[in-house]
Amino acid sequence: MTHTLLLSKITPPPAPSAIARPHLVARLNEGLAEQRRLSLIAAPAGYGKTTLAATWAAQCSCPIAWLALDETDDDPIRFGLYFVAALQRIHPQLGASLLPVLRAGQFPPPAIFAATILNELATLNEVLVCVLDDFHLIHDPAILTLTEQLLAHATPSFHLTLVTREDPAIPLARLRACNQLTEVRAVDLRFDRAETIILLRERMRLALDDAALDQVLERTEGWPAGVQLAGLSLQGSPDPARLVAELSGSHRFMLSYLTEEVLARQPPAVQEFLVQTSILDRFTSELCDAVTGRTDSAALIDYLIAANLFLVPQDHTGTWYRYHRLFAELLQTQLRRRYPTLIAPLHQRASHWHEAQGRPVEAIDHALAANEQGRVIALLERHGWALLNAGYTHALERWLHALPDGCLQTSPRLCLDFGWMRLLRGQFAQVEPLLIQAETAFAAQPPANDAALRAESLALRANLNQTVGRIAEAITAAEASLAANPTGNERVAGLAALALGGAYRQLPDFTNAVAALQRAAQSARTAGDLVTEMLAVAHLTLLATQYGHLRLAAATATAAIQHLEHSQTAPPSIFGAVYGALGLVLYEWNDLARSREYLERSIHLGTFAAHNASVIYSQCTLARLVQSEGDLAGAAHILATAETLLGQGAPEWVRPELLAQQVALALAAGDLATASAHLRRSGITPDEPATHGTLLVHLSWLRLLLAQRDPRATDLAQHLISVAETTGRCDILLRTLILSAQCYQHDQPTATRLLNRALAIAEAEGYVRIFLEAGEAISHLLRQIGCPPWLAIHLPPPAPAAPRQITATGLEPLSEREATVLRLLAQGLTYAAIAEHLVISVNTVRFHVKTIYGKLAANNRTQAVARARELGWL
Amino acid sequence: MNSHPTIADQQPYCLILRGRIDEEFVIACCPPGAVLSYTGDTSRIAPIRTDQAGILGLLRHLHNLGYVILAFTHEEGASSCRPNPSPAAASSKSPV
Repeated sequence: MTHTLLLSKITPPPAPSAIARPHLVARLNEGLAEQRRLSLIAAPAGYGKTTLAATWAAQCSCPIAWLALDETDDDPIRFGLYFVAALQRIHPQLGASLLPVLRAGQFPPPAIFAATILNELATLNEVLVCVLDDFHLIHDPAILTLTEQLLAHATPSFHLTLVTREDPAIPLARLRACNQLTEVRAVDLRFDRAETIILLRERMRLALDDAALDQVLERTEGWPAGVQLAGLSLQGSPDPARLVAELSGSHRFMLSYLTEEVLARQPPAVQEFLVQTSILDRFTSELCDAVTGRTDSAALIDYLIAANLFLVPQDHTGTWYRYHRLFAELLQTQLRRRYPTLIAPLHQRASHWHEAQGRPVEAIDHALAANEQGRVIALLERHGWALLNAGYTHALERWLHALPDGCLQTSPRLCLDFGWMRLLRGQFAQVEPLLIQAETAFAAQPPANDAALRAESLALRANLNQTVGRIAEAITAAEASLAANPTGNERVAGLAALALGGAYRQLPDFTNAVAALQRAAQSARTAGDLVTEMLAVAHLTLLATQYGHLRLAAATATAAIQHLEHSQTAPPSIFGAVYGALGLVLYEWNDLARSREYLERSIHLGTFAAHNASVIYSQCTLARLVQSEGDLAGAAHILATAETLLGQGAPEWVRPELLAQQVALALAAGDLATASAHLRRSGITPDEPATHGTLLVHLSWLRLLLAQRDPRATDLAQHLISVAETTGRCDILLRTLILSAQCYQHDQPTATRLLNRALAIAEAEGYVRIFLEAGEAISHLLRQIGCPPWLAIHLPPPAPAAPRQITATGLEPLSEREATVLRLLAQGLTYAAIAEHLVISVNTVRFHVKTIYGKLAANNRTQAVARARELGWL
Repeated sequence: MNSHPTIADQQPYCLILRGRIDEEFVIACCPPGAVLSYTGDTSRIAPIRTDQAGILGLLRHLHNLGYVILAFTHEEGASSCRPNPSPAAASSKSPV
């Protein structure tokens, strides 16, 4: 399902024909001119905050992004979607990269969210003002942190305006102290005498003498809503003096009194309309017709506008309106008093209208307000799964709490939906009680009635078991679910197969895991369950790369990406892992430019979705890529970032990936001590038997032992080959064979035998990079044994003789790849030709050239070549 | 107390909270002039000179941070808001 956004919420209200308040508009303009970060309009209800903001917005020289918040926006996903939509009304591309993550039900880390918006805004070269109206409705810590981040890092291109009944929970004092805050408060917003005269005498044409006018001002304390309502009351009052004299007490009391006065003067039809439509947060004439049963709502709305009866337009097309919040509350009091039995039917009609319009959230809220539990359950049963997949977990949580105890016992469907919600939110302990409730409900019915639900219950149990590591139980439950699904419900089959695949992956049982995950992806696709399909694809691609099945990984990932692009659906957050796996495959295939593209995409998506595992996984491959280009410092920086992320929380399976790359980098830098320290920290020694989970660490030990010329290397290599063969880990087998060949490079027959075996494995899956990473010694051996053409085209030409004057001149030596690039530069090749020759991207060539120039202290190719010749490097 | 304070007026308030509130919070979130002092295991912030929107926002902020409010009074004439005079309180007073 898609998130349906109400355009009226992100459209600045039309300029109101209210009392001009030029001094307040000037104050807001001054804050903008002085590049203060925040304007705060804070006052209780009825002080004209929104009116002032709308007046300012209408004449402001900067583009205005407007978001009218309501209670349901206190949900990070919903807020994020509306916030970006409000910004995109001004700049359609702004925050576009955030939308896929938000649509997938993930709220990006607030710092990343804010940085994305602010960085994009900084490039636009204009100031954008963002107004968040009714910000007092926001209490969610993630949204408040986002607001704080936006303010903490705001550039002059972004100005935030908060319109609120109370001060927001952000460090206002700090902003005030730094002169970054413009404030308009109740004391500024209350009407003074001149404004009261304009409103009552000039606008409302009331013949009030000075004493009466002063009395209104005194009694209302300049409270704009009070003054206005007093004016409306006085307009038709037979005894104005009595009315003014009776104005006293709190604003609430006064407003209640005045509302009754004003209502009493309206025609009965208008009174009825006002009271009955007060249940609606916002409305159109069609919705009002549906709720009231009338056919003249459009005309009545026009009348209310003309009578200035606290109607607030929500767009410029005159489609959506709402009542002023205070007025709505008082009308609702009238509704309870006048038509108590009508409240539920009004909500019922609103619920049906919203459902027909494809707005299940509003439909459920009105059904709840109507106390129609049966309908709430029916709506949740119809839309719950879709809402869950669309990220409405906060709303589902709210509805779950709103339903009375025992309500779920009658609906196993709801028990399961809420169970899936708990599972997705990581609240594993709360899944079991819901499963028990569902199973209790099944027990009371004949099995045939709920076959699909029973199968889904087993699938949920299987996924729960798989997630918490109860592998055997997961497999049993998943298989039972598949067996109990005789009607072939593909959605349920996909969910069960997903658990089965995940369990087999952990076992580890590659063949069964692949079969189950492929079935999960296929069933989920047939059922249109994109989230399950993508979870299966993510598992499958990671599994395939882990076992060295590059072609399977690439085919699975590519098909999923094409499917996503074709369906124009936002990738779920887990999809960062799929991009990362494809990036790894492309790296192994020596397609560095495309590899980098997918790795960066993976890191981007994973970062937005706070999916640390896929970010770290892709950063490890990216570091490998950067290291292969000779940029050891760049690789170290990427790995340091990955290490920080790991410290913030990530599954244990990514730790060996990071460790392996850290060791590889340290060895490339000749820093054996650091490599050794990394490995010792793992707690795994080279002498203990390798298992499926420690293979990567053992492989890193092998690299270190080889570098140290430790005689234990040979035995460890043999052991690794044996374990890799037993467990089917082609990638480990291949790497070990190549490392062993390096080990035996002076025993050419043995080295050749090992390399030939590696080549046979590599050719099947297209491995290239692994040979190039092994360095010139292996390239030399490959040339000697007659390298097969599929690999030969990637091998670098023999490196030039080592430069002799490096030490003498004190210059930093060129890497092997830089020396090759320098030689090609000297031959006069263009960057594009060099890129083509070395099968690398033009950007990578540029990178190498820049490094070469730096090392040779040259500014251009001629200087670099001349200097290299002087040094004997060419 | 002012004989006729309105909803828009700034008034001086005093807050006593259980536990030791972070001085950074007072600097970042309380109006200028607020002084933080400690008495035993309680924190006192006064005067918090603000209007109704300001004080409500501050109270909600503290509530959401998990602080327990022991006393909330108008600063003038609020004897219960005064901490027990003690050397510790005197030495830990911090104008922010």
